[in-house]
Amino acid sequence: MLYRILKSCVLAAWIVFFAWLVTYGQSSLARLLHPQLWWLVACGTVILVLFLAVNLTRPAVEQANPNMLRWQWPALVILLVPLLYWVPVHEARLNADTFLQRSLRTADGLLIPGFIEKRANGEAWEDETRGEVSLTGLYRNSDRYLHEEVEVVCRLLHDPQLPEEFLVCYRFRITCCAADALPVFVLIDPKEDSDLANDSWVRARGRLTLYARHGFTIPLIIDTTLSAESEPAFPYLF
Amino acid sequence: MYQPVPASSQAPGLSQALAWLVGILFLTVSVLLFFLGRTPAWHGLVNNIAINFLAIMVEALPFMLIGALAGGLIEVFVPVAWIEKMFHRHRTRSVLLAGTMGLFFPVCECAIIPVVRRLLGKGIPLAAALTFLLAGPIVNVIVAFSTAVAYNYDWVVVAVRLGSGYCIAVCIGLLLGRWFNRDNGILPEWRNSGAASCGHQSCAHDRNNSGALADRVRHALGHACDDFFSVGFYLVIGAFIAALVRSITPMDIFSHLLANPEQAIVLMMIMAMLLNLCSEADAFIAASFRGVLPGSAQMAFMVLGPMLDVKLLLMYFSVFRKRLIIALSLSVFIVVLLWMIGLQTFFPALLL
Repeated sequence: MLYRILKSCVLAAWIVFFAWLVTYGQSSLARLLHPQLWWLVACGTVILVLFLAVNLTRPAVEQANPNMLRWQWPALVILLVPLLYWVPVHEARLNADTFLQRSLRTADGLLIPGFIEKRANGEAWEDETRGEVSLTGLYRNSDRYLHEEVEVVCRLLHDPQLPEEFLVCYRFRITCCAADALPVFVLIDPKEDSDLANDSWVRARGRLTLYARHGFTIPLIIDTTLSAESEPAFPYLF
Repeated sequence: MYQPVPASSQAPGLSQALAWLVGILFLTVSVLLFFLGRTPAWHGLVNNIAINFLAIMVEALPFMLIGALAGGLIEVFVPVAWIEKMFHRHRTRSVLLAGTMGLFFPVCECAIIPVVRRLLGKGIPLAAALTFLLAGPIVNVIVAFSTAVAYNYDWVVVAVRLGSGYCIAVCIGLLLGRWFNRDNGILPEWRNSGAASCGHQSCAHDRNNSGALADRVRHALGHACDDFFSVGFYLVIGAFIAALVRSITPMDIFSHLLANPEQAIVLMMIMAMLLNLCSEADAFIAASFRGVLPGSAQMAFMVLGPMLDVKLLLMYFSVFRKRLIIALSLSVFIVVLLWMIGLQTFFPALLL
């Protein structure tokens, strides 16, 4: 009986967690998973509810093996470990350390841009219609914005290894979940020295040019003015 | 009437004492790390591990639940006679067929183990099961689409990825099928097909296919729930290791170690095993190495990852014997390595 109760508790804990993520905790879910995959968590919740119902209505098996709980409790507790780690996740963010850890550099310290697919000319991206250009939009439609005034919202990084004292304006792009997040960045040549700290969210406004070196072309925003900005509801790019 | 799985099969593959020790060790490390994360020195690293760990779990667990549910439905609704008709007439043909099953049954690697367990319980030949296990997470339409998007609709990359996955899976299925069979390759509870294929002596649903639908669905859910508890903790341990590796391994070290394409292939294969990425997302990581690594190394990453990673390796213990797991791991690694070196040697311009 106790073993069955423990299994039911594990299932119930995951049901509560998943149900909260797809209802009240959507902003938290967006920091872990692509928002379009919410249905996956909803689907998981339904299956867990079915499992809980079956688990509560079927016969107990401890009578057949009284030592079951003694040997099986670690396996049950292990299933709860991810929920324990929800505590730090609540306030944690992928930051500049993650950015540098997931980036590649050339021998002289230049950050190598990740691959971003192009789209047909004239095809707008959702966040470009609001007057603000996404970092991925600057790569995808660099021809369209070249020498134009652009405005991006991103996080700031002072990277001493970069040439010419540029700043890095970065965000993460996810495909499925935060574990596959890849850094996307543009370089910034600020008008005046910035005292904004690493990882602070900023709005950068300036003129777009391209910085080419070692066969890589990176968008560079020159004459940039920087202002502090609050964290967007969806911190990732998609 | 349906009875839950007995205790002896709850931690199969590993002996009960060893599974208990591994569990205690994991709990100690994970809880210790959690509390270390409360100190300033460890705060950043543990936060990073926590994000990756939760992200992998929130993505992978629903897939595993879907896989467990599919396995339960297979257990109750797919008759053994159908399996025998499809897979027992011709060994090579059954392996070739199993390699394409992912096209009709698109599952990622998190979902495939519960499905394969149930198919083995139903009597599918070991060679065909291994082929489906390896090919299923690659040769499917979702993976084809995500690869196409990641590689800017370069259909050559898609074709090479799916073709490589299929050929390698078939080769290994045929190869291991010669040396291993149901008796020496899989755990006893999944070995005997037929009336008690689920391992529950009292179930006998193959003899009672005419039962009420509601009872049979409840029965299928019972099996699926058992699968969740017997495979789920392997998934948690694998996801934790993957998050740890993802959080402490700088990608930049790879760019300094890539003296030649063969070295690049090996390093990308090791990275694929350690990162445990979903087969539906790994193409985007591989594509980020375009212009940095040869195409064969990117392809090695995309082909090996869905076949062999830490999380899968742990989950293999829930169905296969240790000897088969070792043979499977070695043969997958070696065949993928040789295949990619062949691609690099004979078709160097194919994947630029």
